Amino acid sequence: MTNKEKLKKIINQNINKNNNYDAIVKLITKNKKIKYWQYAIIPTCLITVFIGFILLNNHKMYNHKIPQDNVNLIEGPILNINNMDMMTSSIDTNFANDKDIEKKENFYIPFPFTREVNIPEDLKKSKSYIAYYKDNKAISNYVIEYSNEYRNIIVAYQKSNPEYYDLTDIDVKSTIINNYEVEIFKFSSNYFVIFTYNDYDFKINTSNITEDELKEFLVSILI
Amino acid sequence: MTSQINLSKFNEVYDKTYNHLLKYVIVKCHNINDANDILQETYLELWNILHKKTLIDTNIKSYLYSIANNKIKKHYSLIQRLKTISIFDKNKDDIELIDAIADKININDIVINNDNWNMVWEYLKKQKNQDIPKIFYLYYTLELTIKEISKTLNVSESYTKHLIYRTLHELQKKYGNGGNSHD
Repeated sequence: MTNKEKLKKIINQNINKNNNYDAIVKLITKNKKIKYWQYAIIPTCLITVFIGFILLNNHKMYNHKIPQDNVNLIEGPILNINNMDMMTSSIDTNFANDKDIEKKENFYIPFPFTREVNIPEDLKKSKSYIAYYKDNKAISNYVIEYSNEYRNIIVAYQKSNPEYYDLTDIDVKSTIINNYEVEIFKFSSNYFVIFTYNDYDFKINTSNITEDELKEFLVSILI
Repeated sequence: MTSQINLSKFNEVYDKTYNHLLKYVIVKCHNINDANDILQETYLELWNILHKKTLIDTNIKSYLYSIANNKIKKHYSLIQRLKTISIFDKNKDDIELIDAIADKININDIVINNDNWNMVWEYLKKQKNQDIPKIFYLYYTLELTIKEISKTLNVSESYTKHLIYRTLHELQKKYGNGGNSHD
């Protein structure tokens, strides 16, 4: 074999038609497998993740039942309720009935709770409005009402303000719910509740709501 | 069934076009070590096209060349392309050197140890001036003349001759052992 033939042989071994063909067929097979993964497995995984995300969030949003371990969130077996019949009260419980206040419905108000709250079944119907001062249009309260013909829960709230209510002149018992301090007052068949949560000061007025229903409602807010 | 038809068509095209495409890729590529990869990528692309549409025979060759062109461009960044520009003057200014080069250059005249031929090709492929392995490929494997090589690579004949002669001389120094080159 001449030098020329030797060099030609070496070059043809290095750049070889059959070797290149085999390599191409391998790449074709590899691409088919990748496409299988792309078109079958990946969409399936994405759909599974999406469904899981929906189910998880639905579970959180629509679960009105209080988990059993949340009972421990209330320190003590019962709410500490202050009997308002026995004291003079400077607390304004009729925050929307002042003659200087106007109400405006169908207006956007910020929802103050971080999740769906637990309200009695018969009070599903609700309305919301802004209560503001007639003279200067300053907002007095945002108000959400859960009500029927016979009873209601009225939630009034505004951006947290230390002067919103001052109870320093009253000897008040507090209830601790999930580390939030709550003052609860009772007069006749009404409850009046004050607390601060999520940067809002709340005043809640109820009529003909039982103590258990009030407890469930408060715990569902303050989780 | 469709897959089999496609494979049979592909095989037919591969056999018909391989040598032409290989020559094209080797001439156009910036580094001969990439020739196999570029060739494989080109035929893989052709396979993907054959899957999607029917090509008539007259189209396939031009398709292949345009695919190969694109693959070569994608394979090399601009910086890489600039790096492979030879510093050796390819013009006809080296007229004195032409006179010194014999018309007939014979690889069989140089003496290289039998065991060293693999290393010879590796040495050629590693040259900074990639025209060297290209010229050797075209001259010894495809058996083109100096004139044909010069036309293919768009260089002067003297440049082609010079590279061959100088490289053979280097090969003799590096791998030769003074023995007889013939079997």
